[in-house]
Amino acid sequence: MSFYKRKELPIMLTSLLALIMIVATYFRIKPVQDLSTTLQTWTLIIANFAAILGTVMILRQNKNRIVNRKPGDKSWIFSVWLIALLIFYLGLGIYGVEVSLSAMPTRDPTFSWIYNNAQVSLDSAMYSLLAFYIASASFRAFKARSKEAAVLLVSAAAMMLYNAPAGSLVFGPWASQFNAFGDWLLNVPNMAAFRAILIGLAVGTIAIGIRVMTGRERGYLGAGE
Amino acid sequence: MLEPGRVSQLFFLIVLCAAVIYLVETSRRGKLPKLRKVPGLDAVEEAVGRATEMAKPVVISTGIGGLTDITAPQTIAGLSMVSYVARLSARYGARLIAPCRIPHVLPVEVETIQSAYNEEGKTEEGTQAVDMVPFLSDNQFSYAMAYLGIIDREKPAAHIMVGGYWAESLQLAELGYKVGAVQIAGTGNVAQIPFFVAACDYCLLGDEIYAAGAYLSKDPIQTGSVVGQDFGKAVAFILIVLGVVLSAIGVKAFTTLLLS
Repeated sequence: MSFYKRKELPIMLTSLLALIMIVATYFRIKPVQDLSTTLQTWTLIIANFAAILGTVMILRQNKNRIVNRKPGDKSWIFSVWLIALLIFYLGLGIYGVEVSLSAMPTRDPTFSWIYNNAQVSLDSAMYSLLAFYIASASFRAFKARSKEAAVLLVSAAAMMLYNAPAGSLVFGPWASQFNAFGDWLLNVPNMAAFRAILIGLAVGTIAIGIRVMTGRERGYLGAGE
Repeated sequence: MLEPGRVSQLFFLIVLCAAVIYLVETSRRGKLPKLRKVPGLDAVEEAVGRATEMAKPVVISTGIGGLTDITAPQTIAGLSMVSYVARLSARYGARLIAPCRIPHVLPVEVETIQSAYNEEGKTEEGTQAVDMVPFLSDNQFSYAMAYLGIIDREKPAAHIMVGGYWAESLQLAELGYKVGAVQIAGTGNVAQIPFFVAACDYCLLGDEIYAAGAYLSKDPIQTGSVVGQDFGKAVAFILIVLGVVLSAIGVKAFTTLLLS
């Protein structure tokens, strides 16, 4: 196998670059810290080039969906719509750059208008749908089927009343004590459990980092385990 | 020369590295530690088998994190799961769909699946790996919408999510529940874990996602590093107890030392 195709080269590079980042974090050595900043800028640039790959992939997949369409299935129309919009918006972005003589396509008012009134609104709509998903998931989860589930139900009910304005009305003169209980629930048992998970995650992250640096974890190279 | 405030961090990083490397080497020499049962990981094979029997697809994703930022470890853990599930899918003949959000994760995921199919002797199916990994969008909610569309149309029998998930986690898990999929999920984003617990059949808690690769592959090197993880957690536990006791009796030197 030729040298550049071997897995050793990317592993060596990963280890070397990770070592530079570690040294830059823990030691005050100016050249290494500068190198680390440059490397982080490179990462951003390289990662952004991947957007081209994404565009090619999405075009290819939707083209295949149109070409391989089945009789009776009208979903291929969405693929046509997607490709048309993609080309239109790309063109608008390039036009915006040309007109404003800037590297920012968002300078074009039509480009920005579509973004702000379609993309942003759709994003917000999708995010707000979460409330309904939370309601249906809570309905299923908060059932006292066991002792543990009962504790969850009581805690959840307390937290809902603590967060909702109705909580203060329900508890009337004991509202301040109830709010103190809510604070305690949130900041003591809840925080303790969250921090335990966070510590485990941090240690796990270091362990996976060591495996990557020593070439024992190769999942990121696309070779599986 | 050392950055102030990071001396103790560096010390514990070195201790943890040494412990992980030592335990990895011990495992490699054949002294394989025993891992406790993780029901969520044991259920993966059953879920893929169920999908095969029902002639429905398996949907798996590595979340919306990439390989170039702080979420990289979670994505790497997700890729380990993709590799395992792809091997099972190849073995049993289940259809695999792995929706992808980050463009630079896409080729890695494609190659992971292809390698898995090759390892199972399904080279021809492996060449179709690129079609198993639809790139949806790099916008979070556009990705979520397209992903929901896939779940709604394909009605998978198994839905596996391991990696970095944010607000879309519950949307994906809830629809997975509604279509009747066996759901196994795990993420390192603590705020999303309760959503997975509420909506999924099995949930990998915290660092269990990092242990998944070792647990499933039974690879001695990875198993050793999982024990190294436990050593790190034990050290953290001892430090917490010591810190609490010493602070309670008014000794501040220990805290000052840790902050140095």
